[in-house]
Amino acid sequence: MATSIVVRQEIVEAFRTEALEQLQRIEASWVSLLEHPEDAALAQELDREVHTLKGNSRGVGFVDVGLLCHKLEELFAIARKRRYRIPEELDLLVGMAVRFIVMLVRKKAGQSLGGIDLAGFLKQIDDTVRSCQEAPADPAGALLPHTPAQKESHTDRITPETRARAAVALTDIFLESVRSPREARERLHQAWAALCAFHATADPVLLATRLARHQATLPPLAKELGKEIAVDADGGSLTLAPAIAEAVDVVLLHTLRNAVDHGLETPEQRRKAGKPAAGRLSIRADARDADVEIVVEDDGAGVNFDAVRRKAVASGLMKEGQDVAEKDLVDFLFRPGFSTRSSVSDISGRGVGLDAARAAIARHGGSVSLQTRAGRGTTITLLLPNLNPHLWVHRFQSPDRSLVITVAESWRMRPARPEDSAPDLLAAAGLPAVAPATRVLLERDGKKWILPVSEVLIPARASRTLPTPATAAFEVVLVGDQETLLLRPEAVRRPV
Amino acid sequence: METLAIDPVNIQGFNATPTYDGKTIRLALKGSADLNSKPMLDAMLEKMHPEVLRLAVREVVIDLNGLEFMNSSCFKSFVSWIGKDQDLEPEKQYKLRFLQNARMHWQSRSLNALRCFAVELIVVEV
Repeated sequence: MATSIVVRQEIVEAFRTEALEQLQRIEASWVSLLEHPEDAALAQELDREVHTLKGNSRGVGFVDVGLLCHKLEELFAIARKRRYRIPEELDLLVGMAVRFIVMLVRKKAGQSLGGIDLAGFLKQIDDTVRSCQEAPADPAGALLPHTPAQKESHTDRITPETRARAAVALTDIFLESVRSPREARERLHQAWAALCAFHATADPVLLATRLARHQATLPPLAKELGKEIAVDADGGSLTLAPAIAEAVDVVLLHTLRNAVDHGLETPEQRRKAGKPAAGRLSIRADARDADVEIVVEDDGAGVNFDAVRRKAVASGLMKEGQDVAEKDLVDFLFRPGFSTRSSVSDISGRGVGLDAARAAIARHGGSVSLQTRAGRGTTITLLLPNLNPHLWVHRFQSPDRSLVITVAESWRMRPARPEDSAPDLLAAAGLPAVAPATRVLLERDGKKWILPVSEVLIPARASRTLPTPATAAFEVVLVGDQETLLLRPEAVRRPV
Repeated sequence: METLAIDPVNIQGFNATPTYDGKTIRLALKGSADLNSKPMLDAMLEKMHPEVLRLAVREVVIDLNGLEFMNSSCFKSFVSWIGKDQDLEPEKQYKLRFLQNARMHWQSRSLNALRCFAVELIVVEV
């Protein structure tokens, strides 16, 4: 009993931490969308974030947060319809709603916050939604300029931004070691290696704890829908990098909610079909070479392809009577905004679910597939590389042969001709340059650089153990066990 | 009597005047609070909370009668201020009394929503 209470507390604390990070992103995305209303990808990301938060909150019993997220989705829907040219009042309400959710997430049991009136706030939103729906959209908009919201830090978890900043700092140390005399170079390199090891192992996530969290959320969700469910989860001792764990969380959230809401039948329907009253759902995770495979399997009704066809026709994805294979129909389920539901509930039906899962997994180079059998259930298989991302690179020995320089293969490379004229990449990047034996020309998007090298090596696949942002000129990447310096010509300032 | 260590804000089109009578802090806002006035307003509200605590004031009156317009960014600054009040121990929490201008409908809607954050701490008066 005591153990379950501790687990529950851990789950709630983990939810709080993640929810506050999500709310920061939601607030920032909202402000950004008002400045760049044409950014469709950002709009989708915003919808996914709030939908994910809604699902997570319901799972841990933060019903008030779930309710408010649902209202926030309604406000976002109005804003989307108006192409984010909205009255000041709507912007203010969204900002207040986000802050209201922050307050609810942070609120501890028994804490006095001076009387929160959730019902009153929801009514304010309803009133505003109603008045916005009644009022015609003003094409000119009543929007005033916005400044990005101040971000508040509520967590000591290592955020992706902090990781990226640490990677840039570590790369600077690596560069300093390269530039230093031999003795200092070795000392700096040792310090660099120790810090890299810490960076690589900081904040690992045990998959089993994440699965347990999802496992705990499903029976109450099923009960709410008048269903019964038995959930079996096995994550073994697998650990994931934080970014991968976050993607897995998003994917599981959406696939599990879909399975319970869409796949699982009511006890009565199951009895009629000769099945036990309680549906079964299993989540299994295994390491496969360098990948993590997660299989979510239910014994529900399977995908209703007739409903998918009807919705696809209504959405203009196919024509009435058109012969479309089931595997292609499955693909429709992963499209943004596609839902077979005719009405929107606060659990699902907004068409934000499987597309969010696929987007989250694709960002990490993974894949998701779905197999279904009518009346027998659905199996969703997620495959995620639990490795560092990689890229193919050109490789060169630096002019002084002190290190191997790499450049992404997206840059075309050929030996430079005497008549070729372009800035010197090493000089522009501030790297030591000695008389080169060879000059190569790098070219991409009409931009040219001359790179002095002592030798051109065979292209190779490099592993990004210490990813720096695309705006950083340098990154240390591994080719096999060898540390090499990735140069991003696109991020190097061209000499005037 | 101790004095309030907050300077008034007086820029083109907007002014905010804080006063202290030994019992209550009063903040009168006039004109239009928009992006131009936000940095000054933020800086003032940032100082307000510690001053309320230093002077052990139980109530702050925010007079919006002369306020024609406030944009959402400025309004959110009040939300942040309320958050600081809420984070206090219950016995240290103080009241925020907003004096609303009935002719300004935007004030009514915005203040009603704002009050929902803490109905025991926020009072809206016409």
